[in-house]
Amino acid sequence: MPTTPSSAAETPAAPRPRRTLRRTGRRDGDVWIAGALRAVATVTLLVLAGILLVLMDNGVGAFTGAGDIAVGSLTDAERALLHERELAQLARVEAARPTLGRVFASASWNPTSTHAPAWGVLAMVVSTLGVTALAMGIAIPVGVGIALWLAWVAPAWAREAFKPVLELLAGVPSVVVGFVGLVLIGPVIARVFGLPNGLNALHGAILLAWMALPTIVAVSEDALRAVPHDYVRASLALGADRWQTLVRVVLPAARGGVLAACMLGVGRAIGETMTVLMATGNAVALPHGPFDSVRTLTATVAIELGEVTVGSTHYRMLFVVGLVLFLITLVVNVLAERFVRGGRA
Amino acid sequence: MSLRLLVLASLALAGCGGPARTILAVKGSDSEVNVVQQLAEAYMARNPGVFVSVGGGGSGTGIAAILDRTAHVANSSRPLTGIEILRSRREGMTLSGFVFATDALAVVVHADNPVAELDLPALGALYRGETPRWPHGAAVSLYGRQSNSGTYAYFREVAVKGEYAASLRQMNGSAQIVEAVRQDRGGIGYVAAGYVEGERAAGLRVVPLVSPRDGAVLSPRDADAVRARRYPLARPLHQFVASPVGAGVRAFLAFEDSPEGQAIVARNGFFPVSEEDARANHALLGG
Amino acid sequence: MTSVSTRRESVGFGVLAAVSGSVVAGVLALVGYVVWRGASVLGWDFLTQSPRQGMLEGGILPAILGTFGVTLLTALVAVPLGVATATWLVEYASDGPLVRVIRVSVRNLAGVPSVVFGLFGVGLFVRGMNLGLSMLASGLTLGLLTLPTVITAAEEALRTVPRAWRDNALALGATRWQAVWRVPLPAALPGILTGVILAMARAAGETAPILFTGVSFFLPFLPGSVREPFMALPYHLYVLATQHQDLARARPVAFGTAAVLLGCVALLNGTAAWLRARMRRSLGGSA
Repeated sequence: MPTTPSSAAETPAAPRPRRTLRRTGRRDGDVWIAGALRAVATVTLLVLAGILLVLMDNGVGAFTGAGDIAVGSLTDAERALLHERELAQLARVEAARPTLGRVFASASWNPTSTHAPAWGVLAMVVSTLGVTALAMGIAIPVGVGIALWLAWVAPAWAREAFKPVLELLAGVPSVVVGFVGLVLIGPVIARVFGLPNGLNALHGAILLAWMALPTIVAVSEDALRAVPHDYVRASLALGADRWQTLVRVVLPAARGGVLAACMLGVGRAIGETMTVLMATGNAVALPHGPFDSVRTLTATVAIELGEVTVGSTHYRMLFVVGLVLFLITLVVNVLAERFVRGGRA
Repeated sequence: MSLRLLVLASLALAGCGGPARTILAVKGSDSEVNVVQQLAEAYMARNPGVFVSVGGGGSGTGIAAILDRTAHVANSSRPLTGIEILRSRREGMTLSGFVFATDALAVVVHADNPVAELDLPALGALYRGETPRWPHGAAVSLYGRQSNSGTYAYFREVAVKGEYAASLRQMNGSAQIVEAVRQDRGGIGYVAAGYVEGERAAGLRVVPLVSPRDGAVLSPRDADAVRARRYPLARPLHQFVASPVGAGVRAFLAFEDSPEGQAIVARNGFFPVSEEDARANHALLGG
Repeated sequence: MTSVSTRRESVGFGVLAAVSGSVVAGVLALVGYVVWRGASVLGWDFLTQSPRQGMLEGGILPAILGTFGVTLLTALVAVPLGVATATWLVEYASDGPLVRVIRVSVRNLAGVPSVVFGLFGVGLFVRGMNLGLSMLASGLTLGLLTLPTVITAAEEALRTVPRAWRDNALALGATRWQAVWRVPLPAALPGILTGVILAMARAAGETAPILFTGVSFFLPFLPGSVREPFMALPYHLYVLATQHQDLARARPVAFGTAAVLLGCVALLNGTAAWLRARMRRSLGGSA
């Protein structure tokens, strides 16, 4: 920089060749600006690393007992404040403190139990993956079908008309989707399948499919559209009909991009919070089928984070749940990228 | 051009980035949040320039928020646990309790469910998952609150006396329990009586409970039985504040205790405080 | 694709067209249904008053303003960071490990679940930086959440500006920064704005990241400072849909709130679409 506050505070300097100075300043400034922009660009990296760091920093205490009150650490005066019952409870909670095995090899999540708190995330992981799989079972065929139609079959006007509708769908906030599900879709599901209520995995999956659709359609349409016309002409010239060409030639040629689109849809579904929270009934148990009530990883954080004492083991465990979620989506993203690159090669 | 706009906007925001106004923050129990929200509304209407914010999340949340110094009043549908008292001591804080109403937890089933009455052991067996079917044939589906709500803990202690069945659907609010049970022929749920007041009980049956004290079959709408705690699921609704109580907090609590405040309490389906609680209240407000 | 139609073809294409058509119908039905059910409460008062009578009467002005404020804050965070990052990536950086790492970060950041951003916001802004539950903490969280959207849009917009334009500026003796500031950035402005608006639309509709960083259940007065908690449309809808004491009577208000929220998002999306259409015309259909 040409002038710094400290130099300005000094006695007014003798006249200098200002034009020269300014020009150097400008060039210096240019370097400085480039440096600053680069520094800002690294913010994304820092945020990603920061997320991991914050999750681990808060989560690790769950395993070291940082969030518990250790019975051994109580002073006599503090002991006097507690009932016999509460002392025993503290001891039980301390004994049931999360360990890697208790967290990742158990399906029982019961963090507020006064008898034996349980910290297993397995039921939530299975629920998350199950709901996502169900959602994708709906969204992928529908989404890729629409993308095929838009990219190769639909008339131009239909394509133009579809785009804003898709954007509108992408823009509908998840809480609105959850709300409409609650009042409209849930009761319909209950009636159609003769269930006592519509709060189950299938309901969540239908709503999630709905929400993942714009991503799947948009990304796979781009990939399908990029398939060279020569492939199509060659196929048609060989006597294939247009359906065969679409399904056997165009779709395989765009495999990478379509798979990437599906993975992005998976990522969207896994990370969705409010919709599943409002739709699935939130029972924490290993689900046996689509009509069971489930509680996903995201819903658990959203439901429980507001209620825990800051710094407690329960609070810290929710960061661990967040970490699990973060890692799952990271894997999904890496896979998506693999597919994109594989598709290009 | 848009840059200039952006700068203007940031200046405008910086302008209101000054010190926050004093807001009396009330937080905690979802059983209490709606009635306290109405109390706050009426209180603010009487005292312009006073700001009260009300938040839910569960009793544990409110007490945690007081310990974190992010709330002034913690709504709680259960007493403090020893561990919370211990935490408050470690934070250098003394918490005082105030009771603004008595609540009766109503046990509700679908309107088609013929069950005449329940006692606490039967209720406990249902919620521990030991009773798979109702006498009328429908499969039992259990509805409750999410863990760490005061109602969840209270019901576990008084009725479940063990662990809830894993199939318990943990709803996010009492209103959702009501909504769900209304649609579920085999459903059973427990909510604060205010949630099934009058026409809100349409499509539901409020099951009378057997008092363990004298064997009488009592309704949660029986004011005398609730106030005398003969109804088995009657409990005081607490608010915890840090001592010494500040003038702003004291004025708000006094308003809740006033006839106007108590009228709002009654309108929401809750009952007046017991005599014993009233004495403790006056000691707190007076001192 | 043209050739003689076979039976298989017409059936296959028919199914695809039908599926596409029903999705369009579904989206329009969803929006129409929400607006139709909310119509009874929608009106000037609904937009300009504070909630009254247990949130069943009055309007939702504090929630509208809260959402407006937090969205503006989001833009203030995401726009400078996002545009600067995109500018560096497109105009300055040559392919290297740092560029690759940043691109991977951007893509992965876009995939991080919003509730994880909420945890991050709690850990860093609310606790770590001690901003407390505030609009500022929520705005910062949402700003980082929408950062990838802004970066991607700005990058694409900058790339559509022909390389030669910059070379001309440099040839005329401009410094690198002058060339960037005066030529590609203004040319890419509509594209950048489109991305910014879409990011704001996303921020306006998010619930999970603000749930624990500053949004409040009931705060029936206008936001006065970014250091205070706030009400927001998505959370207000969540409360009305699941937490309210009287869900049946809260339904119309909930639908009205949902309609307003949809309206805000649609308005933003529409502006973005309009900008994009204009941009496409001015660039001769190449974008």
